[in-house]
Amino acid sequence: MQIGFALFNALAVGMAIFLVAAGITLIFGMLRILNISHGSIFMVGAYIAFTVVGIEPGSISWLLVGGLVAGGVLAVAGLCINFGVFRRLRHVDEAYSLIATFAMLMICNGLVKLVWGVNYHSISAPDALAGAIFLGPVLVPTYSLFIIGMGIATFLALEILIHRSRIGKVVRAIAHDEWMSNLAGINTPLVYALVVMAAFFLAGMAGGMLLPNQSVSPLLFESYLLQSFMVVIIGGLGNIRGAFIASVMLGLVDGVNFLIMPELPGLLIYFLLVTFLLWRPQGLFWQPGADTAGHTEKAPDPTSIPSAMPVRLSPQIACIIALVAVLVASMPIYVNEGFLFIAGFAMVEALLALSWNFLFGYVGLATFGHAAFFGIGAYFVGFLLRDYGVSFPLLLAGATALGVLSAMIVGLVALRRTSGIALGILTLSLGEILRRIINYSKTLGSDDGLSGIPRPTLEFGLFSVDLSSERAYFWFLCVACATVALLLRALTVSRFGRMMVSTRQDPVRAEFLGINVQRVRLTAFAISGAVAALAGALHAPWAQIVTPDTVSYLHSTQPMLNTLLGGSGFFWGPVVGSVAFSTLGYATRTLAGLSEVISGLIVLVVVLGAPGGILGIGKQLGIFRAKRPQAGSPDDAREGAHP
Amino acid sequence: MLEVRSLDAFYGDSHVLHGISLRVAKGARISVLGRNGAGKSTLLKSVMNAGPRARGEVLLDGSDLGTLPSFRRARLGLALVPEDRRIFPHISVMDNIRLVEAAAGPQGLVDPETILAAFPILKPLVGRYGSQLSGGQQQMVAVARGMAARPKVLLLDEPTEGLAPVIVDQMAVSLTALCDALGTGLLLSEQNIRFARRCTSAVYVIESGRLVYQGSWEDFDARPDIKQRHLSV
Repeated sequence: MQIGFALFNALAVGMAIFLVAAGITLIFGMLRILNISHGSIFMVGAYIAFTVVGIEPGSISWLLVGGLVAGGVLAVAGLCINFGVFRRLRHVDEAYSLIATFAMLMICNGLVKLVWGVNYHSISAPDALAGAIFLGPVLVPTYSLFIIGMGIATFLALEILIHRSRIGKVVRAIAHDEWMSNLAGINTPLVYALVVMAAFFLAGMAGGMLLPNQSVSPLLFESYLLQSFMVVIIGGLGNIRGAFIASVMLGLVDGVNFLIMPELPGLLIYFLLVTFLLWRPQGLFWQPGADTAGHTEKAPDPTSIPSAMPVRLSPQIACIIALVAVLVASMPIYVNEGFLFIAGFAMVEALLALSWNFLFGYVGLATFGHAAFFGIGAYFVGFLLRDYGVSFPLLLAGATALGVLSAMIVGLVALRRTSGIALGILTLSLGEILRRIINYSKTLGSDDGLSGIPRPTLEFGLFSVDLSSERAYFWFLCVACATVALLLRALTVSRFGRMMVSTRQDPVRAEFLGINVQRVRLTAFAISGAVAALAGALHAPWAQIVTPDTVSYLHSTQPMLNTLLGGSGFFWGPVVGSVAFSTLGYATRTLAGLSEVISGLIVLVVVLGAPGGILGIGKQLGIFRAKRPQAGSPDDAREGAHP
Repeated sequence: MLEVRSLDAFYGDSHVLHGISLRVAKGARISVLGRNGAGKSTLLKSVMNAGPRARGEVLLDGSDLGTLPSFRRARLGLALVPEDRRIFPHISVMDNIRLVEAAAGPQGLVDPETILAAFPILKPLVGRYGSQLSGGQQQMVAVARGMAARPKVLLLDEPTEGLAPVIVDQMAVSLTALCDALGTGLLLSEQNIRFARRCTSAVYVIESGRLVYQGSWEDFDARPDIKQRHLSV
């Protein structure tokens, strides 16, 4: 009886996931774009439907009307987004399309807060769906039945459309070979637009039908975002049958999770995903010839790879560096406390972003879980500093070592089996597992995190440096971040740096030249993890509080956004991006939602219009008189003074 | 019918075609001969606006095609059969052929019987999936698919590459028969001179992106130096 109920519940959960994931699957199957913003699009749909039906929808058909209106509005929005965004993303590097759709996510979330506010709304199911009926001995909520029915109906409709109809043949032909489909006289841009509209319509419908399923709030996007990823990954990217089965599986696993460890919701799903990515990165229903997560290696754009050539420092540049260094170092004197606080965060974020681009820019690996390393460092230092008063330099060294260790463990497994999107999702999942474990750990403060972390005193035997004041720690941050950044820079222009770049440009050829590509990747991964953990370690005493948010995937995306905004093709690009983002955040801090919309718009414009980032624009305008043909011109060093 | 006027084509920064001009009269069959990398494929793709960045004029029935995308050109009566064939692996041979319906226009697709009559080798294969075909069979399907849309001019890119001699002979018979039956013009890019001679009436020679010779096959045969200089390996 109990099991029957749980099973039914699991099925309802699975179908709810499928309703949302159907759209993201369609878009991936067709455009090869993993639309990260899909969860937010769904949320917008839910809000639109909520606006139509109100708190108490009178009947099932009213709920459906809400879904249809939301679907219609979103379909139109999808048409615009297809022309404005997706059309430009189809032929760019995967990492850029991920970041562009992430920017869309920010815009959607910001818009929701601006238009509908940040309050929670609970929508009750219409009377016809509010009760429960007996199916044999099992008591089943009618709303669950409704969701299951809708899920199956949606699946059947898509299945027939894609696998049994003429339109489906055309759609799959385009997915296989867009170029040849064009030659066959098929209006592929139109079909793309229609598929995107259909996907957005489905998201809107799901928003309407799932209204009574959960409360409507600006956090709604999160509850389905990662699940729909998993469906797409486990099912085999872009495969609607796989997506359906994967949804059911996720529902069941979630049910089991609830039975055996209710205190750690959602954890088992991530383990399932990680296992899957390592076991079958191509998904359940891989078709030969189809692009999948396991092997989508597009040729990288060589112009976006940062230079691994040492640059000489001209006297003018040295002067500029000195000037900026003085400007930053003297900040405690001329800016207010709030701004100084932001500046300190910007330095730490810049270091984190540098460590991320060390992997992305030089080795070509995009991780989506970098905040996990950051969080490891931050929690390690925060915990031991507050509760045990361990010496700070020792803690920094320990955090770095911990970063190396964890990166080695993750890298050893992950780099062997995955690349591209699969690696991204794998690292994202590992980060989320860590976050959930921290959330659960009472020792680490659960949801509230570790607060009241003291700022340390550096003991040097004969004398000691007290860092407890804001100014003192700020100066310490300046020195520490600059030192680490310069060390990292030195590494990129060393022999190892050139090896990294060669593995990114052409791993096969690098292998032929006697470079152990796996080892180079792993080493870079370890270094990157170490620097990220160190950034976290420096962050803890500055913020004086560490929360699970520091580990979340949203924080993981920050270094990416910073890097792309500044320019991934430049060593100092991430630093420029961090400064720009922090300034932006500071300038728009007063209005909830607005900062997200503006940041999202800026990232979107940069990714679509100037993939080289701010420094790339500068280079094009000839502001940097590059002495070498590649990126990383001497003038880039200008930004180096304020890491 | 099809006319190309001073066409230049580029891949990125590299200038591949230089001022190509040629004509394919209604129902005429023309060969473009040239070595590997001479620009034959680029020429056909440029006519179709399917890849290279092209400058110059492409006229079909006297009207400039301008910047029309390839699917519009396909609908206006051009059909490109690419050298790598590009058969869709997930659908049957018949569905592969039917896929060009969008390009066929109001008259509809050529009757499958007509096509199968010209390509008897395909008769037992119509139900097979594209992924289950040999190279020669794929080439037959590719040509059949191109012709099924009733193009005014078929742009055929090195159809004999990698095919067994006996298949090449069959291809020549099928191709000419179908072109005659449907009144289709042909612009054939080839390295196989024997095949090109069997299928076409006039010949252009291209070298390093420039046309270096044009004339009838008789003229071509009277000028062994052309073959010597531009085509021999």
